[in-house]
Amino acid sequence: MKIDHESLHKIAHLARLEVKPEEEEALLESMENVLTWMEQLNELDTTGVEPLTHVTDEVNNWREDVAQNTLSRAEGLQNAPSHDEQYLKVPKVIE
Amino acid sequence: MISTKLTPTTIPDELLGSYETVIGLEVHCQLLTESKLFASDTNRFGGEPNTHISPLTLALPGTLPKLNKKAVEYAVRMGLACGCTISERTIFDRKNYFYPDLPKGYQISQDKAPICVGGAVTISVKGKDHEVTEKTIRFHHIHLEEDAGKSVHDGNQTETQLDYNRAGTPLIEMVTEPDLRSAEETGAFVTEIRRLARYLDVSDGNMEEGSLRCDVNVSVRLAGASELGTKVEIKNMNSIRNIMRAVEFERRRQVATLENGDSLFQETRMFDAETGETYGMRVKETMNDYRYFPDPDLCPVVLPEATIQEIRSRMPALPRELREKFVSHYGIPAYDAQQLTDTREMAHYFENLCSHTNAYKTASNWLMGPVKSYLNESGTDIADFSLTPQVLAELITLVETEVISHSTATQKAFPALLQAPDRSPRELAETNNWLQNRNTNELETLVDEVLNAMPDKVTAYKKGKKGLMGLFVGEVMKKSKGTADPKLINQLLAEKL
Repeated sequence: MKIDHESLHKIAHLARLEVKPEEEEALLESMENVLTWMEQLNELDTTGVEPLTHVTDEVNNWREDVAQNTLSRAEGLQNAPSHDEQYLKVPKVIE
Repeated sequence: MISTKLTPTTIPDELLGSYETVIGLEVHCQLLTESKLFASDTNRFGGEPNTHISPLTLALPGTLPKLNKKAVEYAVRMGLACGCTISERTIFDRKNYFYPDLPKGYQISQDKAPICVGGAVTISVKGKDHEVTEKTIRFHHIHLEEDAGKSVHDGNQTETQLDYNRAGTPLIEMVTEPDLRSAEETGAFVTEIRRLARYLDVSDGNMEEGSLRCDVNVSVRLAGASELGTKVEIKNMNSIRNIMRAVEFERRRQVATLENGDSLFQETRMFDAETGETYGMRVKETMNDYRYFPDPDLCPVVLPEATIQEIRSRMPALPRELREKFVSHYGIPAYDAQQLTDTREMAHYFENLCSHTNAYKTASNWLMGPVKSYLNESGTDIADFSLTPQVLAELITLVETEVISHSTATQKAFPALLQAPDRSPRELAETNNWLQNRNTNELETLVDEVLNAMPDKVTAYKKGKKGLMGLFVGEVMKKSKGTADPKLINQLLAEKL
C-alpha cells in the first residue's frame, strides 16, 4: 500500500511529531511495509463475524462508587516540568 | 446602486417566516457520583485546584481505569426515563486528540456501542395563539464519557495553568435528533432535561457550575424543503436563556446570509452573552480526526434484563408520572399538577401535605399561592421551607372547619407561623384571638346595632341598592374586631333585612 507525503504529514501532525524532510522517505517506506503486511488480513472473508473488540471474555469489571483521594497535590505536581503550588503549567494554549 | 445588505437585526419577519429553523442538541450532564468515572478521586465541583487527583487522572504510566458502577446505573436511569433502549452490551472507546486538559491524549467515551439508544422526551410549548401543544423530541443516543480538566488562561501571558479536579468526572452526553424548531422549543427541552436529571438524582443540573451544558446545532432551510441546510455548532452554552438567545440570533444571521446571496459554511461558533451575537472562532478549523477505537483497558459492560429491571425498580417517580397521579388520585387540575411537579421537592411536599389533609385542592392552592409567593419573595426553595407539611395541614384544617377565616389564615397566621414554625396553628390562633366568632347571639346584637345606626342605608337597601350588603358586613366585622365569621354575618343580615 502506497502512502503519499500528505498522509504522512497528517499522521505526523495528529501524533504531534515533527518530521524532518530528510527522514520522510525512510518513514514512508517503513509505514508502507507495515501496511502491506497488514493488508494480508484483508484476504480473509469476515462476513458475519462480529468485530473482536476485546481479547478476553471478561465483562463488568467495575468498582463501587467510593471516593478516596490517594495522591496529594504536592505529590501530583512534583514531576511536572513546570508548576506552582496550585497548578501544572504548560505553554500558553489559545483556543 | 446602494447596497442594502440584510443583517440579523434588520431582516423582516415575513422573510424569516419563510424559513424553518432546525435545531439539534448535545447535552452534557455531569453525574452526581462520589468518585470519578474510572478512578476513585472525589467528583465534586470546585475545591482547591488539583486536590481531586489520582495517578490515573494525571495519566501516570502504568495506571489502569476501573469503571464506576454507579455512573452506569445513572446513565441507565436517564435512559429508562427517556424511553431509550438500554444496550445489552456496551463498550468504551478512545477519542484521540491532544489538549493539555486531557493528560492521556485521549478521552474515554463511547462511539459504536453507546449505553442508551433512541428514546424521546415530551415538551410543552406555547404556540403563536398561546395554545399549549405537546411535542416529542427524539434522542439519537445517550453515551457515557469522562470530562476534561480546566485550563486557566487569565493573568499569565506565556503559560496556561491546569486544574485536573474535573478531569475524569463522569458525564452523560445526550444527543438529540434534529427535531427542535425554535428557541422556545429548545429552552423547553433543556428545562425538561434538567428537571428529569434532578428528579432522578443523577445530576444537580446546575448550569452555572457547568453540570449541565449544551452544544447547539442550528441550520435553516426554506419552509417545506426536505434537505437540511448547512449547520453551525454553537459550543459550550451554559444557561437556558443564552441558549435561546443564541438560537434566535443564529437563525436570523443564517437567513440574512442566505437572503444576501452569500453562502453558509459548516463551522463552530461561540456565543457572546454581552452582545447577544455568535461569532466564528478565528482559528482555522482542521477536520477533526479522532480515530476512535475500543479502549483495550476497559472490558465490555453487559446489562442483562434483570439488572435493568433492578435499576428501574430503584428509580424515583418521574414528573409525568406524578402529574398523572396528582390529577387522577388527588383530583387537582392539570395546570396545578404541572406547577406542583416543577421540582421534585415541591411534588414531595404536596404529597406529604396530602397525607395530613383531605382538602387536596385547598392544599394545592396554598402551595401555589401563599407558599410560592413567600418562597419567591424570600428567594428560597421549598427544600428549605420552615413549615412542616403537618403544621401547614393543621392550618388548612382550621380554615376548612371554619375555626379561623381564610383571610386570617393567609394574612395573619401564615406569616406568624413562618416566624415561629414550631408553634401549633390552633394554639397561635387562640392566643391571638383569631378564632372566628360563631356565637349567633353575640353577632345578632352586633348586626342589630349596625342596622339601627344607619336606617337610611337600610331603606336604600330594601329599595334595591343591594351593593350596600358589603358595607353592613364590613361594619359588623369592624365591631367584632375582625373575629366574626363572614358567612354567619351574611346569613344573619339576610335574615334581618
